[in-house]
Amino acid sequence: MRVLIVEDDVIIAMHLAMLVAEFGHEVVARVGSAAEAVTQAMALGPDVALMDIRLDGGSGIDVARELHERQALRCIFLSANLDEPTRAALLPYDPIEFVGKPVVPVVLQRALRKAEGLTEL
Amino acid sequence: MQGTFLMTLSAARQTALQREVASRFGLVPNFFASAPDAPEIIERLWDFAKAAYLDNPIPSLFKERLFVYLSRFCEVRYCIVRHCAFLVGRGHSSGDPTVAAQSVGQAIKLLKTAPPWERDANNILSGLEKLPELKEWSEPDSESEDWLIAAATMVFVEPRRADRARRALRNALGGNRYEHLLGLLAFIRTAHYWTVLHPELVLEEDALELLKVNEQLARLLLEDPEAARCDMGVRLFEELTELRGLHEKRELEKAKHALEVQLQQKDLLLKEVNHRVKNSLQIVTSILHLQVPHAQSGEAADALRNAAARVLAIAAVHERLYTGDDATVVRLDTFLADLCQEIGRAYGCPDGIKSDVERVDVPTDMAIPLALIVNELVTNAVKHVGPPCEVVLRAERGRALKLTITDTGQGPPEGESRAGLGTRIVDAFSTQLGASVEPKQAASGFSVELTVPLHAPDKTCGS
Repeated sequence: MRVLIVEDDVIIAMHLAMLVAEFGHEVVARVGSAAEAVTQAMALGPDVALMDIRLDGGSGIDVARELHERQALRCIFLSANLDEPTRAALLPYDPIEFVGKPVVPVVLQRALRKAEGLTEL
Repeated sequence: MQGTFLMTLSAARQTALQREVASRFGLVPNFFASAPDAPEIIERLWDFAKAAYLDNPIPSLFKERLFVYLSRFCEVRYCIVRHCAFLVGRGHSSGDPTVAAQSVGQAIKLLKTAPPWERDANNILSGLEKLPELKEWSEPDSESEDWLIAAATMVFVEPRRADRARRALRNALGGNRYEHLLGLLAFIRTAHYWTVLHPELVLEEDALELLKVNEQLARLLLEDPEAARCDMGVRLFEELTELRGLHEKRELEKAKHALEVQLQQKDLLLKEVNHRVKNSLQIVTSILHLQVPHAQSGEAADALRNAAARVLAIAAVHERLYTGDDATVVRLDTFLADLCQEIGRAYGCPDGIKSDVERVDVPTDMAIPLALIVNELVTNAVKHVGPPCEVVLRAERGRALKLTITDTGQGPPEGESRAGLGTRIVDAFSTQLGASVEPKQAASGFSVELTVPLHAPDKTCGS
């Protein structure tokens, strides 16, 4: 799978990229802002986005809406705050999975497998 | 000598005053015989009475009827009885001998007129507002007289709330007559207050006799509920109470709102702190994980992997926190299952660790030691014996947790078992949890069995 990583903390983004590669997927780009996320998604057409909900200069929720509307791109959402209102707000954009931070790698692996299953359909 | 002379002078002044009073009213009301120690005060009071009441250009009968009606709103009954007596011909109404006496029936009708706050105030005032300026003063018992008395009552009893009544009166009467009316109201208020200050004032014989022969009138005059209820002081008090009630309610609302805002802020702050703690733990685990491939030796890589795993075990507890309803407990089943799977993944045996964990919630300060113990024992088993490894956790009648970790090996070799950090971590946290640790060797393999009390764990940890 071709994965876009949207995470504004560089260290975390590097770690996520390492894990995604370890799980056998291709990281198409690592971006740190909402605007970049939209541009890169349009340019690179990834299969799935690994989306941090709290981003520099905007909410991952807004990015998710835009990606969903423009490209029907679905996300695995990452956040340190996955309360009910947050989950409910993301429901309209067909989330593949919610992965809590700190990320337990195996949980991310499961989410990517689920995404793979969905993109193969 | 001098004292007697002064007394004589004072008595003379009093006599002169009383003669003048009698010439106007046809009798001397006790009101003007009060305060004998300071006749000069009564002289001024009499001057005020003449200016605002007796010589006031408003028609005498209206003045007297208004005096009677407004005296309903005075707790001391002297004025109402005295002026009612004037009205029905015992003495002269407004000191004017040309005024024809009203009948007791007319007086009763006036007294029975409901106060304006029990009537449609809007109707009264709009009636006055629509009136062209009166050329002649209203006839007694006419509709416009009723409106004038009602509006004057509003101004008299509740001056601060009677702006519209004041405007309506000025509209109907014109400026000059309006000011004379206010002058009369001021004198009536003064008269009432004077009787309140002089409780020794008694009714005159003629007034007492009037009450004696007219029982209905007497009852109306002496048992008027408005006397107490509509006394200026009482009304003011009621108003203040109402205002205070309103104020307190507003303050209460304000305090409630502030509390809600504070709670919301606290909630937001807590969320923010949690977010930061989790994010920081994420960064710590990320750094450790990122460093592993850069290690110069196998030993260094192993040490980094161990550190990363320990930090992850703690971080994973935090990941579970504050996502459910209760921020102080962690649900163990999914949590330990993920942790075991992660260890398997990290050591290249993704299906090598089986976990069978009962669904049980434990407090956070129990979850972290448990996570670290499981991490050490499972990692140790996978590293030194290899898969498969089994983790079982049972809640024993809600009193203790029984955690068993089994591998297929022979247990740690004698002697060196006490040395590793992993073992020290297990010992220290077991002590902290008040848990007993039992190693068991069977033919099928080696197991460690921990029994952790669920309540009142022994906090005297060895660390």
